[in-house]
Amino acid sequence: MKWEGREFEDSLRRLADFGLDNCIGANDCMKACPVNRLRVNQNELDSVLVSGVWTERAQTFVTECVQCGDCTLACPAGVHRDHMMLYLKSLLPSLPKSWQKYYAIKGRRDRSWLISLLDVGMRLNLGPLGKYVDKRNLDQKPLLFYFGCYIASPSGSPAATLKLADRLDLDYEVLGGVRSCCGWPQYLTGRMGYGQQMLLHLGKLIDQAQPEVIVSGCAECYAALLRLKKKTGATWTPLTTPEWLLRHADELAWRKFDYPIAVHDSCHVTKKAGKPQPVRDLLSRMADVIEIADTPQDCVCCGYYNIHANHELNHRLHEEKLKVVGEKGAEGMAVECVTCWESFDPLFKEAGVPLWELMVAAEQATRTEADND
Amino acid sequence: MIDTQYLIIGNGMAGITAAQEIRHADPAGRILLIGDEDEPYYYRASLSEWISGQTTDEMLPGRTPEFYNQMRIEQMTGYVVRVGPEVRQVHLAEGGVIGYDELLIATGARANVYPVEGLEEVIVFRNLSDAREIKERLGCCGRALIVGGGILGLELAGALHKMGIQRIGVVQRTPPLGKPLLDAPAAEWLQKQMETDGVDLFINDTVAQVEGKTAHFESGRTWDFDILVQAIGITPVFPEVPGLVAGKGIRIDERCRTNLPGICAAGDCTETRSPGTDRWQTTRIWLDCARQGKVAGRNMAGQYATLSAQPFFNASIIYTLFYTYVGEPHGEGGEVYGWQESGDKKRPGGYRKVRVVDGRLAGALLLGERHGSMALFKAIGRPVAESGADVPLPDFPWNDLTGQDWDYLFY
Repeated sequence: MKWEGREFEDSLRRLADFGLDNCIGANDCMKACPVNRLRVNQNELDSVLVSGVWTERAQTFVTECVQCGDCTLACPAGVHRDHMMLYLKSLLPSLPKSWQKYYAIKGRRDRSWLISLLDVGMRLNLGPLGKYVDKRNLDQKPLLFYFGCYIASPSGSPAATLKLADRLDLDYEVLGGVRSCCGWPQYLTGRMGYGQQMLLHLGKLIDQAQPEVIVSGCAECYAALLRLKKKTGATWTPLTTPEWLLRHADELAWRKFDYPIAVHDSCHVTKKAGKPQPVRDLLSRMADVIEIADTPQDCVCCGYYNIHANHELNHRLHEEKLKVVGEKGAEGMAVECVTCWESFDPLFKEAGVPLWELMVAAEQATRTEADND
Repeated sequence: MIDTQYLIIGNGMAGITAAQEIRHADPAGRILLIGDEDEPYYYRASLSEWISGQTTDEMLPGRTPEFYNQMRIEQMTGYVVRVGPEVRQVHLAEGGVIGYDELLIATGARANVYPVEGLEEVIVFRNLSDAREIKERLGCCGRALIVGGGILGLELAGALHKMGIQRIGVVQRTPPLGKPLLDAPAAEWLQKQMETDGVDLFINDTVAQVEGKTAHFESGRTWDFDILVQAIGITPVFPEVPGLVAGKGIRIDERCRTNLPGICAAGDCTETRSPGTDRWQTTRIWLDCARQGKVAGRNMAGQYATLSAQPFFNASIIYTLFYTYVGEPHGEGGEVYGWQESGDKKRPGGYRKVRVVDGRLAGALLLGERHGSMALFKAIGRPVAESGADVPLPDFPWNDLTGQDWDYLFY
C-alpha cells in the first residue's frame, strides 16, 4: 500500500484555489478563530498560499489550527477556510517537535514494532477491553463500536459504552487500537497522503465486520466515518454515541443528576455534520440541560489538538469555558466526544467541576442495583 | 518610456489574479501592474464591512506588502487613456508611455449615476474613496437614503445598520427588492426583516426631485436625508483602443483574448458570449473576475487555458444576512421546494429555495440560514429526486448529495 500520495493535496489545492477566488477579504474567518492568538489576517495566509513564501507568524498559526470550522461558518462568501488551512498544513515547511509527537505512533505503519509494544501494554492494562486492542480478525456483527486510538482514553468512555451495550443485551464487535486510526491526526499535522491512506485502511478493517451500524464516541472519528462512507458508498450507518444510545433509550431506566449540566458541542458533530440535537436529547434524560452558547454552532472549540503543544492557548480556552459554565448556572458540563473530554479534563478537575463524557454519564444514570452488585 | 513583458491595467481581483498566474507560469518575465487608485489591491467586495467597522484598514489589502516583492510584481499608479495595439504601447493620462509584449485590460467598471432634479452632489458606492466619503459624511448618526435596492444597495444598507445608523431609506424602483438575486417570496421575507429593523423601504417608487436635503418621491412621499447614495449598477470602463471589438464591455473569447493580438481582457470591463447563443453578457461577479484573470494570465504567459463551464456560485451579504446563490434557482420548469423561518435575536432565520429539474438539483438560493451552501453547489446537476422536498431543510445531510470530494465535509 502506498502511504504517501499527492492526490489529496491536489484535491485540496483545487479547493484552496476556489477559496482564493471567492474570498472577499472580510477577515471574518480570522476574527472568528478561537486559536488566532497572533491575530493573523487572512491576507497573510492568502499571500503564503499564492507565493509559497512562509512567514513565522503564518507558520505558527497554521500549525495551531485545530480545524474547528468556525472560520467557515463566519465567512460571508461561503469560503471553506478550513479546507484552505488544511492545504496550508500540507505545505508547512516543518513542524515543531512537540507536534511531531502527535503522530509519532498513531497509525504509523513504519513503526509497527513500536505499536506492537504499545498494544501489549494496552492489552494488559485495559481489562475486558484489552482483547479488542488491534484485534486481528473482526467477527461479522451488525453493530460495530469503533474506538480507534481512543480505546485507552482516560475518559472511560469505551468501557462505559460496552457496559451499556451489555446492559441492552446487544451483539457487537469492537474495532480499536492505533492501527485503526482514522487518519485525522495525520491531516492535522499536514501529512495528507498518509492520512488519506489511513482512512482507506480503516475502511478495509470495517469491511471485516460487515456491520450495519458503526458507533463512534470521538467526533473526529465520526467525521472520518462520514467521509469514508462518501468515498466507498458503504451501506453501514455511522452514528455518534448519543445517536446510538437514543435508539435504545426507552429500554433503560434513567435517573437524573441532582444538578444542572451544561452541554458542550463538538465541532465535528455540530458544525460539520449538523447534528446538535442528539447530545441534548440524551443529556435531558439524565439532567437539566443548560445551554452555554447562543446557538450550538457558537459553542467554542475545546482546542484538543493543541493540548499536545500549546498549553497556554488551551488553558485560556478552557478557563473561558469554565467561566461561562458557571455564569449560566450549570454545575457540570457534558461532552459527547472523548477528545473534548481529554482536552477539558485537567482544568475542570482542578476547578472541581464535574466533566461528564456522555457514555460515562449514561452508564451511571442507568445503573441498576444488579449492576452495582 | 518603460518597457515590460507583461502589462496589466487594473489592480482589482482580475488584475492581481492574472499577475499571480503569470508569475507561476513565467518566473522571469517582468510584470507591471497599473492601478488608478493609490491603494494596492484591496477587497472591493469587503467595503461594506469596512464601512461598518468590521474590517479595518489593515485588513483591507488583499495581499501583504512583502507579497509583491516576493512575486516580483511591480506596481505603479496611473490612468491609461489610450492603447496603441499596433506599436504595443499604452499612454497614461499623466503623459507617460509604456511598451508591452502582452497586455491585460482589467479596468473594471464605474458606478452608474441617475440624474435627479435638484440633487447637487452625487455619491456612489464603488471604491474605497467612495466608502471613505460615505463614512465621513454620515458620522455616527446621519440619515442615509440609498437609491437602488439591488445587492450593492442592500449590502450598504446592512453595513449602515450594523454601524448604528438609525435612519436608513432604501429605494427600489422595480420590484422585487434584491433582484436579480431574490425572487418575490425571498424579497418579501427580507423586506420583513428590514422593516423590523426600522429601515424605510420605497418599493415601486423613485426619487423624483430633491430640495436641499429632502427627497420628494413620485408617490408624493418625502424623506429627509444627510446623504443620498446611488447604487444602481455598474458600467464597464476601459481605455480607448483602436479596433477593439466591444459592446457594453470588451468582448473576450473563452481564452480571455480580445480581437486584437497581444491584448487580453478580464473582469468587470468585459463581456462574454452566453453559451449556445449570440447574446453577450457583462461580467458581474467576483468569482468570474478571478476565473477570467486566471485564464488570461495563463494564456498571456504562453500556456493554453480556457474558461470552463461551471455552475454559478455567488455567496456574500445582502442587507445584514448571508446568502448563497448556486446554479439556477429561479429558472422555469422543474419542481421548487422551500423552507423559511423568521429570525430572532439569536438566529437569523432563513429562506431556502431549491429547484429540481428532471430529478437533478438545478439551483438553490439560501438566505440567512445557509448551512450546506458548498455541498449544494457541489451537488448541482446531481440526482436529488429521492430526497425531494427535504433538500432545503437546514438539517438535511447535504454531504450525501455531493458524491465526489469525499475527503471533505461541507457545511
